[in-house]
Amino acid sequence: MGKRNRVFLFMLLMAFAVVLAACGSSENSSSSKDSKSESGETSLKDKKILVGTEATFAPFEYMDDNGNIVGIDKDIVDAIFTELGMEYEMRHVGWEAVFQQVQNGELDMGASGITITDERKETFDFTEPYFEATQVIVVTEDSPIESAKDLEGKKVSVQINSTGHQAAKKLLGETNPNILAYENLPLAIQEVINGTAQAAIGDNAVVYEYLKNNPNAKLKVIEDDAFEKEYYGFMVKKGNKELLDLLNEGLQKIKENGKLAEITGQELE
Amino acid sequence: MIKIENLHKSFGSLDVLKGIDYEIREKEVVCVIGPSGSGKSTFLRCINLLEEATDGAIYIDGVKINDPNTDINKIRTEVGMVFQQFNLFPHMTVLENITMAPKLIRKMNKKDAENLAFELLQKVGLREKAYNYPQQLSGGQQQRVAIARALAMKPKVMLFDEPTSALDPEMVTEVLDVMKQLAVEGMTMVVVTHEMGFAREVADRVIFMDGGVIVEEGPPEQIFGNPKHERTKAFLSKVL
Amino acid sequence: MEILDFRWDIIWNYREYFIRGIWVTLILTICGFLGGFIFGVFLGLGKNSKRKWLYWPCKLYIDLFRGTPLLVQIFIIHLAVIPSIFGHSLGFMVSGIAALILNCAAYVAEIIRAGIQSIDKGQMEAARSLGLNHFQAMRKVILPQAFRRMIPPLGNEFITLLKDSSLVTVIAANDILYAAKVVSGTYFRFWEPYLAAAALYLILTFIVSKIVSFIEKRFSVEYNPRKDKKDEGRVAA
Repeated sequence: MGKRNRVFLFMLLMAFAVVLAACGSSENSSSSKDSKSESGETSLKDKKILVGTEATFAPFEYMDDNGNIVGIDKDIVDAIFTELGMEYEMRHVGWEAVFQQVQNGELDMGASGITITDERKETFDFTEPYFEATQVIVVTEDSPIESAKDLEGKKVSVQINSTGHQAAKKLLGETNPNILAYENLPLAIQEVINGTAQAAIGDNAVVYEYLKNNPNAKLKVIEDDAFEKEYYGFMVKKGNKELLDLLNEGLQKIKENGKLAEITGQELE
Repeated sequence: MIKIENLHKSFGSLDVLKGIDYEIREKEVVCVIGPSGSGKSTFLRCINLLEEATDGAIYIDGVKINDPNTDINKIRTEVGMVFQQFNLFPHMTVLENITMAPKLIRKMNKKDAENLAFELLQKVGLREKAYNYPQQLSGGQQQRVAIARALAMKPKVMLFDEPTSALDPEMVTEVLDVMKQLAVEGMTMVVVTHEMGFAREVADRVIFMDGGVIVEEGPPEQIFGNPKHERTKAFLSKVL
Repeated sequence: MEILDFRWDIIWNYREYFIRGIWVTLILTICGFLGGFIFGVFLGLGKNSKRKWLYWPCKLYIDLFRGTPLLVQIFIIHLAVIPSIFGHSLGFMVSGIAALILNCAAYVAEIIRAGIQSIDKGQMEAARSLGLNHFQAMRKVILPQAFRRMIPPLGNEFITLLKDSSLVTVIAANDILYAAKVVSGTYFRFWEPYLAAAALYLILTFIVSKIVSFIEKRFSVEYNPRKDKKDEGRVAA
């Protein structure tokens, strides 16, 4: 009986080791999946770049009736790649997955209204900014809340691990249980409507778009200087200088020829 | 005391009882014999309403028991039943098995119920097993406890459904002895059995059933000694 | 190699989240199970009934809650059902417990029903032959025996509920998984937080299974069912 147990245990350990090795190797192999050419310099330009996003963030990315991803980010990415003469594919993978998959190489870049922050820069590289934003507070029309200070002691909903989430943590405390973090911003706002939270914090462009599309929601927006200006950038794996340079090159071009301002409606310095 | 009129019982399209008429008088011991599938158990189970008659009537002391208005539970307190598989309650001790119904239904207090139980256990020869659990007893002992349990409700009539068929041969006697004792004391009994010796010795009357009807009935001397019907003869020649 | 370069200090930094997470998970599971059990007993008995007006509502309820994912049930209860009944949300705790109760009840009902049906027909017949009515027979004879048989599957259901309670993160209930998600997103590390979460759940389920084993043994000490008639040698003095 003892011998059989030992054999079984050994096989179990082998299986586990194989799985672990497979996990390790997949991190390195996916980026070179499509590459067919030999030399390092030109291979990236011929490759189809995989772009990840969370398409519930209108007007930056959302789904149209046919299930296609549309929005400002899509348009900018499209413009950049047209300038570069490169191919890309945009995929809706989910907010947290964007970070995970860019980090492990499954995706080449993230374009999801991602704010450039120092914490994120420790793990990722960002292009030059392409949009300026700030956080705003969303409350019901009849809410007594008038400023960021009034959020003290209230339940505040945010999108999980977004800059709104960071802002809430800064205002209310890192481990405050009153911060309710949801998968995406629409859900966070819905919870304000339902009364689970008394306020939501989210990116201004997205919030105003939501209100525009839901006039009956009976919500109002509060702006507060407590929230700093934020800049969106496109995100790549740390050290991916090649792609980063290409993206910045394309971004610079569309800034200069006015295409960027045309898409975002914003004049960026 | 028990009157059965034109009793029919079908299970779906299968007719098991095809018209039974019979009368059982007080203090009588009636044994029912016959091949399997003859409907003997079904007949017995109709008397305490474990099976519902499809047609016909059953009267106990003049009360039609298969009438929808009768209180089935009340009837059953007067009719005791002993099963082939004993069906003792395994989560209760022998004592609790016996005292449960008298306490719950006859509202006896614990002391009286236990006294009654000990009396009955004495009668079936198992007084010392009062605090054991059924699983700790042999088959013969379990069946004797089952008899005591049924007697605790002081029924007017006792029904036995092949009480010894599931027992090893060496345990059959101890159970039959208890039943003989009951008969001597004047209990009205209806016994479905394969024990021809018992039937011959103890029964006042024997019923031979086959194909859902009573083929022949009469005192044991007649049935065993001088059967009138071919089928009775054929059956007896196989079992005796 | 980055996989083996673990930073457990980030778990320590956010230990408050994890500790709170353990409490929330336990409260959700225990309340969900207790409520689900009580409700489930009624459902199970109802489904066993021969009366059509009891049977059908119970059957429909059970089929509905066993046939839809718990995640969907959580969303519907939290975002739609409770706000429409009460005019506003009652918070994730209420929604979470409600969803777990309603879900658990359907599974408990089936355990109850199966447990009752596993009792030999002869037991009911013997009880009824003594003159007990249906309820008395259930109370005194059937249910006591059935409950002993239900302990293992009920224990399993509790453990399942413990794990499934992690689904409430989607309504931002701060349970163990939620803690892991927040830590993971803050530091962009995925091994440490999720392994920590898994370890916590594992510890909890381990403790529960030990308790269930104990209860099982405790209840079967006096009573060891043996149907073997040939065991006459087992006569105890």
